[in-house]
Amino acid sequence: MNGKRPSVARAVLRRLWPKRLWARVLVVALPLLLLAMVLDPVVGSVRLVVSVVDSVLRPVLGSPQGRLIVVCASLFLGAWLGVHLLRDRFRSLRAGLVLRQHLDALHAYLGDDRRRARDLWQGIARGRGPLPSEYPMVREDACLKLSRLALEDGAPGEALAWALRVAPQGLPTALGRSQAQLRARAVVATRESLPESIRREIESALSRWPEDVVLLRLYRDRLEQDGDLLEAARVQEKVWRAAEPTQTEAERERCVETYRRAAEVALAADAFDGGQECLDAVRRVDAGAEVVHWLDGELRWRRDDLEGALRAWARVPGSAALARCAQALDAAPDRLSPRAILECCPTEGGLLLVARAHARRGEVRQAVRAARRAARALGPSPTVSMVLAEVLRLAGDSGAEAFADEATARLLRSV
Amino acid sequence: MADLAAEPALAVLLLAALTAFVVLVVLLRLRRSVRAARARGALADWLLGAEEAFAGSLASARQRLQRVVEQDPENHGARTLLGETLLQLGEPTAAHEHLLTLRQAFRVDNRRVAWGLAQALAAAGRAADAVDALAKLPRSGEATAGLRQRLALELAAGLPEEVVRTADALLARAPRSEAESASLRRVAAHAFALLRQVRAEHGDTDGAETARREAIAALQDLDGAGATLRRRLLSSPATVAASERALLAAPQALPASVAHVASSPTGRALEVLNEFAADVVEAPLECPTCGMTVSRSAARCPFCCGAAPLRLREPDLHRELGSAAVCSDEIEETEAHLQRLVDRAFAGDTEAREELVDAGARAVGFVYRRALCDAGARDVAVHVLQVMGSGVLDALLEAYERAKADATLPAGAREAGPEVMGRVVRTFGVAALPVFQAHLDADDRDLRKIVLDFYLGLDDPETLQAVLDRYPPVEVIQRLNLTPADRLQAWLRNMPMQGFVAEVLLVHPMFRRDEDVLLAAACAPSPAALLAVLARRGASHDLATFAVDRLHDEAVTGVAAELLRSYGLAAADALLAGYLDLDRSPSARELARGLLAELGPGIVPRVCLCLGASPSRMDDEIVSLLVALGDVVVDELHEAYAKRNLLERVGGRLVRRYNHPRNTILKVLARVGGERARAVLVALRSTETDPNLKLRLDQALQVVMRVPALPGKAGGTSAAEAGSRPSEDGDSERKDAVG
Repeated sequence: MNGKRPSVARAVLRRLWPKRLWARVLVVALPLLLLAMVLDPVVGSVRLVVSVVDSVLRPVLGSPQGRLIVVCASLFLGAWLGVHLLRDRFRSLRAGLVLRQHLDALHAYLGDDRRRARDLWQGIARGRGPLPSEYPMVREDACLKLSRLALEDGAPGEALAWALRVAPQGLPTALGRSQAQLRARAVVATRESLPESIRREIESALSRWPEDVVLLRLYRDRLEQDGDLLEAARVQEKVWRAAEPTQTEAERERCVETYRRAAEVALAADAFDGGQECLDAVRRVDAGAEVVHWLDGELRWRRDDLEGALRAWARVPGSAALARCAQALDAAPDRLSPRAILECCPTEGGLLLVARAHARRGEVRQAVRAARRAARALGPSPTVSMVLAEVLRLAGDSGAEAFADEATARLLRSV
Repeated sequence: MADLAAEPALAVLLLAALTAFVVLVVLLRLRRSVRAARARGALADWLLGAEEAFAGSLASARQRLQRVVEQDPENHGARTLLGETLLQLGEPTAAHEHLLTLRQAFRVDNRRVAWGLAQALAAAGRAADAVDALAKLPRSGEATAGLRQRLALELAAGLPEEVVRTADALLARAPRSEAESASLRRVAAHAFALLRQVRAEHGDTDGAETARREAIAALQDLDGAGATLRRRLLSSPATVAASERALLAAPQALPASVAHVASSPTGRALEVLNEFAADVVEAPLECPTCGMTVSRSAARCPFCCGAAPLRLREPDLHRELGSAAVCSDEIEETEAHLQRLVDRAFAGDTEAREELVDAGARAVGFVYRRALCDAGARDVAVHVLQVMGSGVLDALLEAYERAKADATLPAGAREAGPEVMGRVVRTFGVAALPVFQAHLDADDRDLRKIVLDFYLGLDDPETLQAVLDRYPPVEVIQRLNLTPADRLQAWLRNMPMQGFVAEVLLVHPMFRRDEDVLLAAACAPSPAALLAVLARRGASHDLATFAVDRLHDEAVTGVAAELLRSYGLAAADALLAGYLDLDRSPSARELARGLLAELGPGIVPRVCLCLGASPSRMDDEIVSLLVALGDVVVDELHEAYAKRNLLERVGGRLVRRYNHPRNTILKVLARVGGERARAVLVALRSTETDPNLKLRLDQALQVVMRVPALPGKAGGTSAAEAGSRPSEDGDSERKDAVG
């Protein structure tokens, strides 16, 4: 069927080839006998052997004891030959049954019949029978499957037990990797496990499978729980590089986010080098990420470069960056002139910052002009409304009240 | 047999056959071994491939499982796992192909296949089909993770009722954390809100209201976005209008749901605004697929897992300004900004003009300078300065003084200063009076002009008297002559026509705005005074022509006719020109004819001068006019007939006489009729030498003797009427006879 044409000769041969063993022996032996008959020395030696046997057996068969001994020896020899010939057959039959059981269990597992799958695999794992030559690691495989089932059922102890039954030596790569994963997962899932144990287990597995994404994820989670965010971010970077194609973007985002958190922790501890390292790493992972500008701004702000910080934050879309700018400006109200603020944040949102700055300086006319210009360009969005109302209130404008009410009504209507 | 065996060839043959047979057997055995090995390999591929798929070694698993499926297409498990692996590898189309084969060809329809299909469809952007693929699976038998995925698919598909059910199922399973519970409630509330919209669109108001209440209940005690959504739901749908009414109405009149928003106006409203803003700061993104708000940027929406890029809720906040410096200039109203504003305003930007007006005194210098330098923009500049009002007077005078000293202005620009200033200050009103009172005695000639313009613009005789007391009349008249027409007319209407103004200023020969006086009289409460002024100024052909031109204007007709009557024969030429202009409106011409008729026989020579050397359409009009005057014009017609023009006098008999005017006069005489006309015709017949004219005269005489005469001067009106109605009675008969 594989594109080959059926051979006529082969078909004829197959047809003629005897189905029974004795017939096959006859077909093979007959030509040999004929040949032996042609070759005189061979026939002569056969005759010699027959005459030797005859000379030995003849006296033995002559007495009753001798005949008894010959019968017993013949029976023993026949039994020994029978056992010897049937044993392999029986072993292969049992091994085939085990294999079939394993395959049935796998199908049951894939068909959502977990109970049957567990029973079958338990039978294989606990059995002492012969292993099929086609798949000799069936027992290890069954143990691993049982371990996986136990993990899925929320029984990490049982999962660990099944995983530990498998000796890692001599396992194929696929099973070896699975065993390492399952062991690590079981240890992680066990509540009583000490962090050090978990870490050691995962590190041990990673030493053999350094690129395994499941192990890397476990390691990352462990590091995050231990508070080692920088190391967790580094591991997450490895996870991102090794992740499944559908998960790549999500893992990259997580990597960036972990670096951001690590940077925040570092900056909170005034560890600027750590923050800078995180920033460089984020640039390496995703140069276009908003976090790059956000972290850049934070670093600059901590280094007393308010203008640079504002410039960096201005590149981050959304009102959160604007709120951060406002917070930084509130901390140093007289540091920058409104003009400088706008040069640092040359966006429509920057106008709101300028309006606040003017209002804070008591420059009412300019504040109202800036706020109204922003309001004209942006409409009554929540941020604009809030800042405009604040500016009007700071400016003591009697229109603040009406504006606030109007903005509220508009925002309510927008649902 | 022994002989046969003794043959060596036979032995060789047998040996060869035996060898071939053995080789064949060995080959067959080897082939069987290879097959067995292959079978073992396929088995290992299947089992190890499955394990690799479970362990996440996707590339290797894919290779193994693909081999298995190729060798054994009916291995459902391998195909299922291959589909799942392909899904994870980001190949939803191939995965869908395998899973669909399982479902359609092999009738394998278990949970795993259904989920695989759903995920493949969702990855291909067909969320609704994905939800359909899961339709047979009950929610109760689903794991929590599966329910979450199902929730995401239903959100992406926009199926609020399904979302609500799944969210309820998830909430019933005791969420892992408070955050997850809040998230689920938000999703449920969002779904209820969607459900409300859908039901409202279908007219199911009760169902919509129920959904709204459910949504509000789901959002109970939630902070952040949940609280904002709850507030919005509380205020909708009926209460939004009430909220808007709250801007003006008393809080007590509002529904309870929005009363708290408007009860204490500024404080509460600001609180609400802060809440909205906090919500946006906290969750600045929004999923275009499911509409949920998202706190941080992600490749996929965390709620519906949609691949559509998240959008900013306030995208314009990040929009770049054209130029920060320009924007700062605008906010701080720097000179650079004002200069730009002036440029824009004079390029036709009305907003810029309004802004200039708003800038007030700060912009005056720029606008004034532009008015001086750019004659084309002067009107706009004057308008802007006028709108700014008297509040900018000091700045305007300062700009005027500065411009006078500015040597950088182009040639001729400074000379336009008084005119611009005059036009502007005329509109300033009494508020600017103290400033100008201080400048009344100024020596600067241009400043005096500006002061005069201001006072003339006030329309106040008492305040004007201060100027008239100080300034020579000629100076005032010069400014009056330069005053715009509308302004002057208004001034004339408002000024009392007595005293210095009426007796001196307006009758002064240097005053040359007669036409504006006439137009002002047309709208004045007492036009007689202004007409008297015009009468004192004497008859003017130009003014008469202007008045005739305005006869069609109903507003001016009365005063124009009055003026023309007062002019008498001096207005005859203008009236005649107007009457004989056939392009004018019939009513105006009729009025002109009436006015001409009122002038009597004195107009006959002038009318006869209008007759040309050959017949024209105008002849009928002239005949009609003359006939309308009646038999009082017979003597004047006789004179006109006898009158010879210069060419006839010089040429004597050598030159051909112009008979057409005489023919026309004869025609008029024939139509007028009567004894006087007959006598004149007889007299003319006796002296006439031209045979044609003689013939005409004979004809006219026959007509005159046959038909009675038209009434004379005393019956002028009826004669005029008769002349204007040639079809009536004897007139028509005369016409026929003459014609």
